[in-house]
Amino acid sequence: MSTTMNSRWLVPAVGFVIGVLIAAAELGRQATPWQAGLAFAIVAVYALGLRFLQSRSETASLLSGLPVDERWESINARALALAAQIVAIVLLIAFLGTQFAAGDATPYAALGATFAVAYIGGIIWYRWRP
Amino acid sequence: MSTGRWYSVDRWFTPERGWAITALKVGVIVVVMLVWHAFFLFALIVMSLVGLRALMPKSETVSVLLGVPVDERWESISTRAWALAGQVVFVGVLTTLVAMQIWQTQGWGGDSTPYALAGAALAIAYLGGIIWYRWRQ
Repeated sequence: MSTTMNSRWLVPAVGFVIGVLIAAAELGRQATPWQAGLAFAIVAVYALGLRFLQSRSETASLLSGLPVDERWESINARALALAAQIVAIVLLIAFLGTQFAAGDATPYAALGATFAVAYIGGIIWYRWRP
Repeated sequence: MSTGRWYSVDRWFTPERGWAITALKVGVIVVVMLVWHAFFLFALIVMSLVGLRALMPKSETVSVLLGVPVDERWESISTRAWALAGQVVFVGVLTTLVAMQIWQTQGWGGDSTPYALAGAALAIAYLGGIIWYRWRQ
């Protein structure tokens, strides 16, 4: 029960922490308190909205990292895989485009390398631990 | 100034033109190195792909890496590996983005736009995937 409660509050709590950090960073960059408050509110409202919709909506539950059944787990895995493949292509295009434009392609190269290592690591992991 | 025929080396490679000739040689070396570097990278990528293709009938893992899983088990492994990679990159992007926002307050600079764009692309693609698979089941 307490584990479930902890799980239910995990994503909203992480959202709040990220919101606070972003708001603090905004203030540190000479933003007005209103701008910092808005930056925090966007993240906080999303996190709270997810928390309150968790029990009413299967999609909100999934977005909170709590798929309600195996079907939603399958949807989550396939959606993540699809998103990862799309972003891998986007990163490759961004990397090549930045290279041609003589810009700094390091962020795209770093993200692409992380992707490749995580994907190959995932294959090895699931290959030996099905 | 030498006054030999126009194709004579002595006519062009004179001590007065020493710096210009050295600069020209350096320029040629740089261009040759860049071209070789590009060819090397190209050859590396092509040879990796050719090598993987040659190993495809012998290795199921290579088959997955080339996007052709041999059976349902390998399809599942591929999907889960992609999902894991997506989560790892999303956490990495989010962490880097927040860290860079904080660094910028210290005046350490750094452009966080690529990470913001990558995070946004991942989030939109993920939400689109949920909607797609939700309505297609």
